Amino acid sequence: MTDPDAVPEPAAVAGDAAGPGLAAGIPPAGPAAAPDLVCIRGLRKRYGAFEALSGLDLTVHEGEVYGFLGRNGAGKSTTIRILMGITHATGGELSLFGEPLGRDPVRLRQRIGYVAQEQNFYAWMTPITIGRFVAGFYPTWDDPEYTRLVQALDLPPRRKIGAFSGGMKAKLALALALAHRPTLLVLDEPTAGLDAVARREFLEMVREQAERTRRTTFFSSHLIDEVERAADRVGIVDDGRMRYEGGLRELSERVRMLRGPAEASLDLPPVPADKSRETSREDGPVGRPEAARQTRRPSGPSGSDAADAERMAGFSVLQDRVRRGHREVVLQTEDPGRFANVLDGAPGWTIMRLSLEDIFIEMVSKPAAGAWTPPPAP
Amino acid sequence: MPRIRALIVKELREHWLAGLGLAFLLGVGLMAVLLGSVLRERTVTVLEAGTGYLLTFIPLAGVVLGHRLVVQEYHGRTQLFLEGLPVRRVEMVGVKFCLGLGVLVATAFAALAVIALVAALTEPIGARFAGILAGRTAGFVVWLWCFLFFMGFMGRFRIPIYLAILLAVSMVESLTEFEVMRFGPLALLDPQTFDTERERMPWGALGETLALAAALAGAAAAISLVREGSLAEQLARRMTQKEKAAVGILFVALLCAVGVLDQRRQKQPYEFGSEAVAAGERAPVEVLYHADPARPAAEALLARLEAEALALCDALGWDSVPSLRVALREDLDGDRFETAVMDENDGVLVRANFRAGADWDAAGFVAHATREWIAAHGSGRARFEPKRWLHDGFSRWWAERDAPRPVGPDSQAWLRGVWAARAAPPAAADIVAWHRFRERVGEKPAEGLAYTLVLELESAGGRAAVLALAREVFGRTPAPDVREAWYERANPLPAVFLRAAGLDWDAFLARWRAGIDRALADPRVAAALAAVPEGTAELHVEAGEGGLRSVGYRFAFSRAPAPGVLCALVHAPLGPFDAELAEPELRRREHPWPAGAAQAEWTLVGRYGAGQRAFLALEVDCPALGCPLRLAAERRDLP
Repeated sequence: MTDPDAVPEPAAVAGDAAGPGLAAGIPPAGPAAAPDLVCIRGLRKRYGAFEALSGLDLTVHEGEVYGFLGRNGAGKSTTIRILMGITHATGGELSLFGEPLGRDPVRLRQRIGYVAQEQNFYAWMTPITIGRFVAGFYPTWDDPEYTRLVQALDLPPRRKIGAFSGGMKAKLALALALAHRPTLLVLDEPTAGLDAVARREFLEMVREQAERTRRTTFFSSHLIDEVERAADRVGIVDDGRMRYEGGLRELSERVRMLRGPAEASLDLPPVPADKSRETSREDGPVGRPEAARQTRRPSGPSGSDAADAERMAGFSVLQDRVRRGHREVVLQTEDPGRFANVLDGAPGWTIMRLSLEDIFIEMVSKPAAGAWTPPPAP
Repeated sequence: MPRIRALIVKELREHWLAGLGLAFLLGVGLMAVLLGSVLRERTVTVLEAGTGYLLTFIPLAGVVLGHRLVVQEYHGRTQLFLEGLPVRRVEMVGVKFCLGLGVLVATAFAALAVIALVAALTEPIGARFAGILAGRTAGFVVWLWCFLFFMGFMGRFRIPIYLAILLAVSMVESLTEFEVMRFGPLALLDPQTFDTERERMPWGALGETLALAAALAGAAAAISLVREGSLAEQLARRMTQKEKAAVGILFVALLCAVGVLDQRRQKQPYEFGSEAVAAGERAPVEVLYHADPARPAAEALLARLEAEALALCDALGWDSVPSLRVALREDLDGDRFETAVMDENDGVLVRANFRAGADWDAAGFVAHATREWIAAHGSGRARFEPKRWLHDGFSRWWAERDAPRPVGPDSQAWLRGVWAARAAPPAAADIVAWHRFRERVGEKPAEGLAYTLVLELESAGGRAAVLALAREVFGRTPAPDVREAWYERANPLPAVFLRAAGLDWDAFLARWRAGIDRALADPRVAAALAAVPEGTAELHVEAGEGGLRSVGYRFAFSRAPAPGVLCALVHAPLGPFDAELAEPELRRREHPWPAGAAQAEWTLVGRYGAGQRAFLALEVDCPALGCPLRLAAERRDLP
């Protein structure tokens, strides 16, 4: 799968094992010394002909808040359902707390607090009765803590859950997930369907409990601002593969957009094979812009092939398109310092910083850019 | 394990109120079934109630349980909440299965215990018999729960599947020889063996039942666990409009297919299972004679019947008569004929003693055969009012059409009619409402009176008028549905009478009454009727012990029958609707008339209870007229 001319993948990569995605260029950030509570390698899940996960790698360290980002359908919920033992993986390895999940999933799950994406509580129960019910499943259930949480979250203890709003149900789910003092808190898009106020309130509670208890928290979302607000480290999943795993600040430093005239050429680093799809997006051309392809030589920003190759080495291309009369090339690199001279000798081109949301969109949007290839020998 | 306990407690908390309501209904149902069993007149054993209860109330309870435990959980998607807890899916499903099974078995056993205890008051129930009852019940309930549990996972398709199963079972029952009640789980509760088989456990049926139960439980487990429970989740979703339309169309198509199959069903016609049968070549008539000595009589009867059949076809314009089978039954009187109830396409089967010698009533048999032929040809509609009198009268007329005219006291049938006209002079409405009149005077006198009517028609319009009327009424093949009712409504009897016979109905009846009056004034008739007992009969009902009613009946004669002549109370319990009573439904309580008595009284005790309805009639045999004469008859509510 790997292009022979692609930038060599560093050994210490936490990311896509199948190819040189963005994760390939960025070393893991965060508390690397802490033990791994969740370790997933090459996770695969297939539903008939559809492959929901195609070799996902993921690591959650103890004590961190891990934001699991991805578009709808990227594979977040599938990963979490496998993690919770609700669904079985088709392939790959998954260990929780240092133990393979397959040995005793129920015992391992008793150490996890889980908030599902959709709250399907029994409408006839009240917070008190559902607490009594759920207590039976956790040896470490702490009833005073549950009572405290119900009070702290401002939940009416004797009202039937059927009369609860979506926000109240999410809070109740959090209280149930925390009351047995789990080692790991897993939240599967817990704010989906909540209004902005309830969402912020909920995330603050998650963040607060994580800071107060140093509890490892793993939560998924498709909203970058949620992750930005709460997470220490993120994993970005797309098409069932991890595209990036690391810190958010590192991510914003290592991605830039180059913008130039629509007809201008820019010789690009090699494109990973799995990124070179031929689908259209907005008003830009498909894959590598035809204009760029035609004018690659001799009018590129470089002075010589060797110099180009040296300058472009270490970059990966996320997007390369023509939009609103400009050619836009989104590049990422493991060494942000390299952006300083990437446009040397390329008149009309500018380099732009992107917001985290833009970076996320560029990473998970189709199509990816075409690859830079060395020019043919004269 | 705490989590299993938590699941059980959750189910109990969730369903206790519904369970309480269900228990109340089941209790009331049990009391009703027991009470009905105790009070029912024909109850042999109270254990009969067990079968009925287990076949109705326990499935009802099972459906409710399956709905509450399975359907409600998956339909409400709350199983997704359970899946998020540290519990195995198989534990979730297993708890529901075991809980439902336990409740259903306990309910069934409790009901059976109560029924057995009540039954033990009147009959011995030993340990072995109790064990057999328990084994049968347990097998059935285990199968039932496995089936309903499986159906619970069918989600939105369960109702169409229930309907399809009902349809399939009814199809199998009606289109094949397979008896569903003799198979597996239903055989365990077969009403014919459940309360009577005291020695042998039905191991075969029990094995089939448990194997079926295991297969259903396995299927339920597969659906609930396969693809991490997503199949059950998908099945539990609401039916889309497209699915509803598809199911509706499929169901209507199935019903149509069943209708077509039922119509095309090639059922084997009834056949005599003997070689001692004389079969007609010109008409579909067979006579079973059993042994060679009876063969000549059978062949003679066959020849007569064939000739009658061909003549009747000519007269009424039929292609052929319905097939007639006559079976020799030598213990019957020569003037008594028994008609078996047959399927529509099997024609007519009559048992008769055509070897009764001088007692053999050949004309009576032809009249009987003609009546049955006409009834079978018109799918029984000839027996409907207002043409029923013509059915009776024409049949007798046909049998005696070649007798010398005018018909007079020499004809027993005619004389019976005259007697009936004297004993219960019929109004025009009685001729139309023939069932009521027939019930009042008895079958043969009524037939005689109808015969006099047809003879009067012959006298007024000639034989052609009789045949024209018969052809008009009986010649056509009636439509097998509501169209025939509309036809009859559009063609009232007076109009048909006028059209076919050319006579005004009221004028005809007046003419007939005048003829009857002349006949009664005829000394020859008076002499013939002098041998007929004359008197009255009365009925009265009295309260007896324990809510029972006694029926007292008294005969008083001014001209008493000969000593030893039988007087009888004819009686039958009546249902909520008034329908014609068939001969086999009537019971007779006979008493030889005491010598020298002018009156006598008897009492029927313990047969009827308060609030029942019964048909009660008093008859005296009349050798002179060759039939019993009914002196009183009524349908009575017993206070």
